[in-house]
Amino acid sequence: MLSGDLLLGVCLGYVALLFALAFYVDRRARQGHASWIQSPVIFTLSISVYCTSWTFYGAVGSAARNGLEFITIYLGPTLVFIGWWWLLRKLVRIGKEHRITSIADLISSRYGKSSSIAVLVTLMALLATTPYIALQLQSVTRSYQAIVGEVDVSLTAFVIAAGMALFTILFGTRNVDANERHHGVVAAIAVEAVIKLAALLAVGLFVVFGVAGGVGSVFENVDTEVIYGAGNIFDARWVTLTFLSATAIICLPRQFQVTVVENVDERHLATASWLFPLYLFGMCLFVMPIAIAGLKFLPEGANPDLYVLTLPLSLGREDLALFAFLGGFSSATSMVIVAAIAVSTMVSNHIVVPISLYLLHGRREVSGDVRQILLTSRRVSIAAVVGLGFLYFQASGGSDALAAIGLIAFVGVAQFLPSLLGGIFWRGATRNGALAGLLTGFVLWAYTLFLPSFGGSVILTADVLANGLFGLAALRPQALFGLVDFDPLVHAVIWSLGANTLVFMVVSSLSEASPLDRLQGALFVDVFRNRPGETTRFEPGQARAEDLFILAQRILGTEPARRLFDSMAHEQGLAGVLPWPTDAMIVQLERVLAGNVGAASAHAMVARVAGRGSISMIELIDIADETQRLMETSRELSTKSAELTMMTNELRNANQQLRQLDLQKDEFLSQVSHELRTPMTSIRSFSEILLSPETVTEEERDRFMTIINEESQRLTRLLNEILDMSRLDAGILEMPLAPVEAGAVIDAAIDTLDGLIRKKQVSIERQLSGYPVWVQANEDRMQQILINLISNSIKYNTSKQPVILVRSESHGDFLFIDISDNGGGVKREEAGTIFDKFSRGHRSDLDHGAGLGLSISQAIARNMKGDLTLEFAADETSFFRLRLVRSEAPAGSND
Amino acid sequence: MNDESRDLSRPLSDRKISDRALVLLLVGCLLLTPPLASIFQLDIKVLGIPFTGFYLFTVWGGLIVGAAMLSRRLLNSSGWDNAEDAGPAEEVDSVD
Repeated sequence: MLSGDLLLGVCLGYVALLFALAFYVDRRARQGHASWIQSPVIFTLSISVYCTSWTFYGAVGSAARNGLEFITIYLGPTLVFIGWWWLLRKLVRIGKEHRITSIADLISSRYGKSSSIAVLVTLMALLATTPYIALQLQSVTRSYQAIVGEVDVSLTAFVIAAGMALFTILFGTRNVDANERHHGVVAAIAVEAVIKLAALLAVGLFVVFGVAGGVGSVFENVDTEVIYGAGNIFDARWVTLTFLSATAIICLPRQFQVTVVENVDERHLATASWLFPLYLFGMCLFVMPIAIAGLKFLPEGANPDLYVLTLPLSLGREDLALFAFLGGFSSATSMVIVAAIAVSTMVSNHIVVPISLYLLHGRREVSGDVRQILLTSRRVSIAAVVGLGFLYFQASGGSDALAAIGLIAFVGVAQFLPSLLGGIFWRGATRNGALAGLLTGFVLWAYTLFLPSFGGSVILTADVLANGLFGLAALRPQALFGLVDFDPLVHAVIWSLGANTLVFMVVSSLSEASPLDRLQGALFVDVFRNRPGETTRFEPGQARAEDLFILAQRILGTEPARRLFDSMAHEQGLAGVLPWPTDAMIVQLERVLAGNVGAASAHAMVARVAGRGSISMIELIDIADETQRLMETSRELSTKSAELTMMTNELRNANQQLRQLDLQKDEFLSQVSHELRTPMTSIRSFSEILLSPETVTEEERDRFMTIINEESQRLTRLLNEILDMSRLDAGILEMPLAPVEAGAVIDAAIDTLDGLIRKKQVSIERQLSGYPVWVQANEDRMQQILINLISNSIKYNTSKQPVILVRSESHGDFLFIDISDNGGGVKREEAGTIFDKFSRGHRSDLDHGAGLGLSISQAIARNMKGDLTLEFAADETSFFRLRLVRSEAPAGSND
Repeated sequence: MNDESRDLSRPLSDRKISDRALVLLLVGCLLLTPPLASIFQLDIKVLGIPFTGFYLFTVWGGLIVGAAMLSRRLLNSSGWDNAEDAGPAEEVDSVD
């Protein structure tokens, strides 16, 4: 016998392993390493939550009682997945496009985001799931009991329930977005899926080959009744069960959760379409042999629902029994976890959150308070759903009635089918039709199947069961209106689903659909023809971006809301401001919020913000603020744009100047080379002549030598000038400034030119006033300028009696030295270019100057903070004006 | 655009694939439910296995193999890629 301690230890170890795995995967996923968990195989394994402990243990039990009938529970899902292209693909696409969080969300979303439908479906799902969870608790406690012997049933069940609730809260509510995958949970479910399949296969192989001794001998001497059940196996019950299981794989909240909500890629369905049927195939393969072996080897009264466990136990294979126990444990826990997530999402989104929002209505603080409410409510809902399951288990006292609950739950959730299929394939389906159909089906299900399952102990008394409500035979729950020829299950399915469908269709065709209802209908039915977000339209309203933002902030949290609104503003071509609350923007926002709180709640909240209604004073002020802010932004923008224009202009000008300078530089270079070549050429040619002395007379030779000498000097001068020029341009010419007496410099310059003056017989007049005048200058350089100016006047003077006038005058801080002559002057049209490098006046043919003198003089004058300009007198005669800065007389001078 | 022209706009081979998927589903439904299935409720054994069980598991296995063979080709068919424009919504209607 396995000891209780060992079993407990293995269980705890297994659970700890699952926690660790979920934690690890969750953390990896957060770091962005979740690709392997998003594989189609993992997706398929997560769908296997379909195989609960009810199928793990119950399939064998069912096979032992009714033969091959158990297989229908797996054939239905197989057919649905084989036909994935037609139904599941559409469901998944709709789920993705409308950010569906649960089956209640899908149905309510389809029917005009009706919250009454959402609440109704949620309650039905809760009612169908609670006993199912109780069943899981029961099967775990019973299997525990079967191994260990007597245990405290309540305590065991409570510990399991609490553990599962904790796991689900920890890993199922990490994110407020119910639309996101719960990676940790999915990983744990996948591992459990492998464990339960492996366990069942191991027991099956042991039974067939270890005990029976081969496939053939298993079925030896077996009554056909054991295999086919009593009578015709392919009867109405067969069809009904196949249909029910097909419905269940679509409508069970947990199946909808793993197949539609947690699906990350539609393409995974393609793999699941054969892999999931294959998984079920594997689960079923050894069910019949185990059942037969159980009937053969175990004592008469043994519970067939525990054959999987008791068979290896009685045959001394405790290790196998332990493995089987873990398989059953896995089946139960994975169902509880996923069902708790799925149902709690519904309860939280459609019941708790709307109520809390209603209670909190009017509070406007900017915070993530709704986000917190959402998380809290989801956690509380999980605890409540699992807690309800536990209470149900306690109340039902672990009775055998629970065993039937699997199929009863199937019929319960099957009531969603007409509204679901009608909703996605029939545009004409309306909210009223769905509501009426669901209510009808729900009531009939409760009356004909659910309540009678308690055998007269809950609501419906034994008397009502036997004789009908109010003693009317026509109202007997299991023989409604005299329909007695059917198995109770088939009877219930015919009545509840039949009436449900009929009422749904009749009311739909008679009632008028609301605009939103019609819109959603078109979007759902034609999901493959619509591009997302294109055709949707919100009813006209006066949504304000700010309110919508506050709403989004409260639900999504500050940062995600800001990101969302930024991206929406960006799409509208706005930046840094809230997006315009256009229809498209509101629809988009509503969809994102729907991913958190479900479509109906999101719609209600957005409608409250966006809806029509009188505008309060506060809102008017808010609007004014918003306008103010927009205006400020636009003003800032226009200022910035003006600055930009200015900078562009400056840049353009600078660019133009640069080009000009570049051009000048090129010109300068070509000028320089030209100027240098002229003297070089004459030096070369004359020296060549001199090299052949026989052809040259002595006289000629002297003349040539003189020319060469003069040209060399000119060349030297030219090079000096160019050197000066480039130094001046580069600003590296050393030019220490000091107070200089201007009159003395003028005298010195004229003295220097004395030879030339005499030779040309020029008379120089000086009109110097107020001397001595001190200026800030470099004496040598100033002299250079004056010599240049005066010698120019002498050289280019065409007059018979050249007269040069040097005049100086003080004006404020400046001293002007004007030099004019009677020799023709400079023409006005030359004034602009006379200071350019290599430019010569019209009189330049009189001399071979390089045209750098004036340019250098001007540069020097400017270096001395003065200037050299060409001025025109009233009679249009030109003169050069040298402007210099006056300075104090230096200390120690004698005036 | 009427259904016919939309249908014609899809390559013939793709329509064939989705047709085959539909046929597989219908054949599965027919073979696994009465009245057709009742024909195979025989009191004989194949390889030591009761015939009905053998029959059910064989059909089941056949469906799995068929689905596996079709799944990849359905994924690659244009009905999938252009699902937004000319999806098989109308085919779904016809199933209904």
